[in-house]
Order: sequence, then C-alpha cells, then structure tokens
Amino acid sequence: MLILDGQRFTSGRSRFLDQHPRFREPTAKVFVKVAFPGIKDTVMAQVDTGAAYSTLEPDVAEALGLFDLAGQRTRISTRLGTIAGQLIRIPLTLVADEGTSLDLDATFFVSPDWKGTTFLGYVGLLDRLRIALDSPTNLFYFGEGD
Amino acid sequence: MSSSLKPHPRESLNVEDRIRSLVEQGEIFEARQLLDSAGELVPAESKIREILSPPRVKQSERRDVDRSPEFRWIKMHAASHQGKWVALVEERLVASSDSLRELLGQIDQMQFDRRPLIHHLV
Repeated sequence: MLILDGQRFTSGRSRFLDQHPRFREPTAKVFVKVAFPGIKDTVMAQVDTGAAYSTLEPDVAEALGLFDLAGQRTRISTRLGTIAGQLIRIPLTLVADEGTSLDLDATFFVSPDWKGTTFLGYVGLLDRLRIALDSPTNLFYFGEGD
Repeated sequence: MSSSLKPHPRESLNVEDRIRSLVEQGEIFEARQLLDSAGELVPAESKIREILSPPRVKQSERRDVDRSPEFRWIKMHAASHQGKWVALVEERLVASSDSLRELLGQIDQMQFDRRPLIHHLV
C-alpha cells in the first residue's frame, strides 16, 4: 500500500476521524476503526502515541465479558488520580477500507473506573506496527513491523 | 540445555513475583526490562510473560467501507449527542443509547444495507 525505498511499508489503510478543537476537548484526536470478537460491528478507538497503555473503555469491556475474567492486577496514574484495574490480553482487528486489515493480540488495561475512551497506546501495540497519517485526506496507513 | 543450567524453581518464583509486583505498582516499563533480563527464569508459559509480551500480528480478511459519511454525521451532531453511544449508517443515526450493551441489543434487531459504525461521543 505504501512503499518506502522499494519495500512495502504498510499494507492497509482506512479513513480516520479527527475531532477538532471546536469540540469539548481542546486538542485534536485521531480515531481509527477496530473490531473485537464478540461485537459484530466496527467501533472507533483513539490512537494515542503518548499513552503508555492501551486501554479499553468499560462499556466495551462489559460487552466483551472481560470483567468476569481474572487478569493481572495493576494500576495507572492519571490526572484524575490512580485507577486500579487489570491487564488482559485481547484480540482485535485494525480494520482497513483498502488493502489488508491486521489481527492483533495485545494487552489492554481494563477497569470499571476508567472514564476515557478506548486507546490504542504506544507501548505493546503501536510500537509493533508501522503507521502513517495523511492528515489532509484523513487517511491512516498501517502495517506489520519487522 | 543440561539440567544443571535450569533455573531453580524458587529463584524463578522470585523473579516472577518481582515482575508481578512491578506490574501491580504500574511500573510496566521496569517490569518489561526485568522480564527481558530474566531469560528462562520466567517460563515461556508464564501468564506474566504473555501479558508483557508484544502483540501478535497477522493479516486479516476483514474489510470495512469508507466511513466518511458517518464521520460527517459525527462532526455535525456530536455536541448534541454528547455522552451517547451511537450507531450510524452513512449520514443516518440508526440507534443511540447511554450504554453500548443496550445499543448492541437495539441494532441486533435491525436490518441494514451495510453494517453500522459504532462510536461513543465522549
């Protein structure tokens, strides 16, 4: 899909949703399409290269039945305080409009106390992928890293 | 590997416990570093190794369509549906709810030309 120095760089692309400063949050955000086994339809997740963790919002975790699982306990520090939760390995698909989607099996922080959206964080997820944004056309390119 | 080089079970337990303790304290980076240096002291089948390991990636046959119409709806109407889960088909709101589970229950009964896109307007 994208070629760099004659080699394939990424394999799939999808249109992404950006949210502009006119909305409640003061910063722009990039939402891409993902799918979870157990939820038939595509949902949106925020790409956050600054997030140490991938996090799953509680409604998604509930729909997937993850609160019934016993994962590895942990806690994260947020600007609203410390939140206790679990690290759980979750399969998901990074969904392409063109080219090839990617099935991933990654670790997410899951907590009923998490107030944010679903984040695809850098460590343990994005750091294993090649990603690129074509911001003027809202296209998100992604592929498997070496 | 000869049996004399295998880690002592007690030593293995200690390293795993230290890694778990770091994870419980939210020190994931440090836990990963310790795991990387622990080698076979942490067994391959260990749950903590699975949790801290990089994602497995493979290609998928799943494909979606360009959701530009749905994104236009979100940009136009997000403010008036703040906090809701919404299901969109092109520029049409087909269902909304305060909870994802309820939304999924609603759209499960519906027929669509193309499957909805789901988004939480937080």
